[in-house]
Amino acid sequence: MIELKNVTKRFGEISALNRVSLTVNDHQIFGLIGSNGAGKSTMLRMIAGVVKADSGEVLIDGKPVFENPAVKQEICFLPDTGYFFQNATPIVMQRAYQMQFPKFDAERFAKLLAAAGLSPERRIRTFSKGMQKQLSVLLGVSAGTKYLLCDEIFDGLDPAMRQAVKSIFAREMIDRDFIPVIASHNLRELEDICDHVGLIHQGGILLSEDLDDLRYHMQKVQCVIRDPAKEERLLAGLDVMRAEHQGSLLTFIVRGTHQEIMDLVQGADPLFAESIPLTLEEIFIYETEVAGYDVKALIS
Amino acid sequence: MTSKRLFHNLIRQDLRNRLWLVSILSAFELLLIPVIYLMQMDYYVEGGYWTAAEIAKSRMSTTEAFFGTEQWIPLIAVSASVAAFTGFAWLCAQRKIDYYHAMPMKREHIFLAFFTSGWLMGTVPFALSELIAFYAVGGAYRQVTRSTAGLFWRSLLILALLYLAVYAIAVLAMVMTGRVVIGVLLSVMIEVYAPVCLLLYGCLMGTFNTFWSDNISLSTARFLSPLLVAWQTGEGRTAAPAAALLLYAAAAFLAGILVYRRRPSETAGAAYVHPRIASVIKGMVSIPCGLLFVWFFYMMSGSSGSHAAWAVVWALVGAVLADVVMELVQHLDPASILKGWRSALVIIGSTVALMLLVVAKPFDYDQYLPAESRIAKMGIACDEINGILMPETSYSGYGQEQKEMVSRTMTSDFSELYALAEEGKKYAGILNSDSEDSTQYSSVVLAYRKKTGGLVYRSYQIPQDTLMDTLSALSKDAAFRRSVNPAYDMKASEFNRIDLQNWLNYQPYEEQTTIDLSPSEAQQFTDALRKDMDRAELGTLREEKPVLAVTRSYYSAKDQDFETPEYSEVYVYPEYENTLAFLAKKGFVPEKTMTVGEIADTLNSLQVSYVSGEKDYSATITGRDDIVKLLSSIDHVRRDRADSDLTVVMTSRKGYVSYPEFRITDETAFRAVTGFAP
Repeated sequence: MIELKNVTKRFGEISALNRVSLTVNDHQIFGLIGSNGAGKSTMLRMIAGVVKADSGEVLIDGKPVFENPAVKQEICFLPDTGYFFQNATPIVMQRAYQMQFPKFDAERFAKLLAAAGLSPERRIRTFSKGMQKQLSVLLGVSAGTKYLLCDEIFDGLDPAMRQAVKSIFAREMIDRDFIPVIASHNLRELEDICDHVGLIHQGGILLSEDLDDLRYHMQKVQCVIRDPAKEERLLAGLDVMRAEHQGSLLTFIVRGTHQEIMDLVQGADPLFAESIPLTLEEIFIYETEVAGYDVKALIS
Repeated sequence: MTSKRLFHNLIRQDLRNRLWLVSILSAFELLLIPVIYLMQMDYYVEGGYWTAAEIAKSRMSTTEAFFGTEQWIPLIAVSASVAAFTGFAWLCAQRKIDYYHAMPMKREHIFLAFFTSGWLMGTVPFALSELIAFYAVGGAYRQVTRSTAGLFWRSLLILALLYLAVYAIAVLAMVMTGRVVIGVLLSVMIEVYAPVCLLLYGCLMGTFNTFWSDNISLSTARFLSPLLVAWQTGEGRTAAPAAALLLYAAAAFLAGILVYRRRPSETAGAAYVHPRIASVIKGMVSIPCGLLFVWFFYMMSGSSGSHAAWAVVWALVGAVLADVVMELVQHLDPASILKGWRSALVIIGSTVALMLLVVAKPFDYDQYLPAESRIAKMGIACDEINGILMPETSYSGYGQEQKEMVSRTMTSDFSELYALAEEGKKYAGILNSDSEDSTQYSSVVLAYRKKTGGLVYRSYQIPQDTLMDTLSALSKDAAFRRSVNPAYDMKASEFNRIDLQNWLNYQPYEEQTTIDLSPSEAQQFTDALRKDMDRAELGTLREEKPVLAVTRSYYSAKDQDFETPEYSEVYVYPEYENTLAFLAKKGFVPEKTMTVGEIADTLNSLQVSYVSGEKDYSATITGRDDIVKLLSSIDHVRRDRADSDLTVVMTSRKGYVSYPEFRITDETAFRAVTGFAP
């Protein structure tokens, strides 16, 4: 389990994380999403023990992580831009990772490398960005650590490789005690793989919930209500995040279960009403909008 | 994998990653050092300078010449710095920091691993190459004995410690910053800051004061930089420099590890890991740079500091320029120049204030000579004392350091010296003038120790006659004579051989005579010289030419080694009766004056050159008659009496070359043979 308790981190005048508390439980794939500059990378670095919190605690299985080699042996951190030694080949990096992580599975790494079509003897500086990212992922997975922290893991990967990564993660979770924490802007991919998401915005946690629970408690409803007064009463009685009209069609995003919301909508005698599943991307946009991150303001 | 294995593996990994540096250092040092040494030995033999047996006899000096510390200091400093910069450059790239700081290792272990690998990659190739050069090549030329091995190992120890010290300082600089360029500049700054500031202080005080004497020489500053510490081992010291270097290394290492432990991981690309350091470093660099600007201006303009107002203006300009440059270097952002206006004001104000202090000379410091009643002792140092008693070519000349001479001559009976100081105040700036009279003045350093304990140095230009009268008066005191008498530093146990060079005929050194002495004879010679020097008056000796120049050395037949003790060369004058009597007993009588014809018969050629302002003349004279005419127009003198514009190189028929000092005594005759009017 990963726990952040009231963690704060400032870089000069900039507050990267402000009294953040978060828990990543065992046996789940945790997706960390957030706007640009929200603090995702900082949080991952903190969990990896690279950056020290100004205040608060970062605990891995109940133990502090910073300057704790025993705990860090169970964490493999894959940053956004990976580092490979000058003129190194995948074999050289394998040795470097083997040096750090006693459970590194060299055989598995060799198989994954072959499956990904990466030559073990070729210089990594001749790889494309996507290939380097692939290599990073394969090294991280083969490290055999309990926790794998991934920053923008899907960035640069082709669709087939992204699917492969998701499959690998799922397989790892079945085979052993494996908890990936993935920070990404690619919400479509995260949606497929993550059980739990945490949304960071401007250094604070907006939400941290199971993805299914999140979808269960938020609805997107489209309806047509002839009586404006009934429409007004309906909207006033709901926890509406956003509402807009397109002609007579009313679309609104609301918190609540499907059953609760639809019962209330039916009470307004709609000509037409239906609930549409929300994507993670939509949840992200609407939640951050409520927090003041108005994308429309950027383009207006 | 345990931390220990990870630690060792990280060292191995770093050595592999920096194999390019290991290869360059190894190739350069392992191939070149033994090869250069071999070439040097070959050169001595094949060049005909020495036979193989003579090289073997001179092993101490050849070992010192090649394996001595000084010549290797730049190589060691550069390789140590490069090893540090390349080893810790990863601290300047965020993705590299992410990689290393995410490793399951404590920070100090990461630091230690990189520190160790960098230390190994510089020290091991150098030590190996030196060992191969000394024992393999040196062994082949019979250079390896207990004495030379001692010298070699002492030098190697100092160089190894120097590497460690410079390396640790460069590492400290790198962990203090997030940019390699700043790390390099910081490293240089830490290593040379104190001696450079002291030198700058001396230069400024010398420029703006008439009677200033720089008592803060490099020798005083020798412990303020590891490079200078290593330099002084050429003076025969080992224990103190070794201890000082170890201290430097330990302090820098501890500071480095402390800074690194507290260093935030997110400082890659920042000028300093702690932003407040920026203003401090800026001030430390900008203020001396501003003052240096002033000194540079005065040096280029040839001014002696008389235009004091300009000094303040240039100090202001220099400080502003230095501040701007430091801001740009530190922040790479022109906007930061204005943002740092507060610190800039402090820097400019401090620089101008310091300059005002130097220029204004509060309390008339320059002219100040306390009343005699407030002075406890005074001492003197001048070239006349050295030049009269010893040839100035001594490599460890007696009292060549002014401080040493002054401390030896300190006396509480200083009325003569006080009068000399008061006399000196009248002749401010005379040696800097173009007046011909300036050649009749000598530069003299006088020091006075106040009854309150302070020691002050002053430099005066004194008429040579006045100076010699004072030295003659002082010589009447036995204690003073002994204090300037190099014979009283001689120990009979330090020499068993004397080489005698006739002075009167200024022959090339082939004419040297060597006399071996038993221990009792060495003591007799020492006693004779002491007696003679005790009786001699400096003023009288100055007007004479020496009969002989005597060099002492210790030759070990067992080791076939030579050692030359300190203060090894002295002059012998005609009135040194006891010394000459001793030499006569040993079968040596100095040559009487040779005629110019007799001298010309031994010479192959004379190369004459005269350079003074726009006058520039040089020629080679080969005919015997012309050589006789030229020698008749010039006089062989001591260095302090020589004409510094005139150079004469004598080549004997046997091919030996010498460079005696001369003075033109007959300009008409000189012009007649050379066609040149000095």
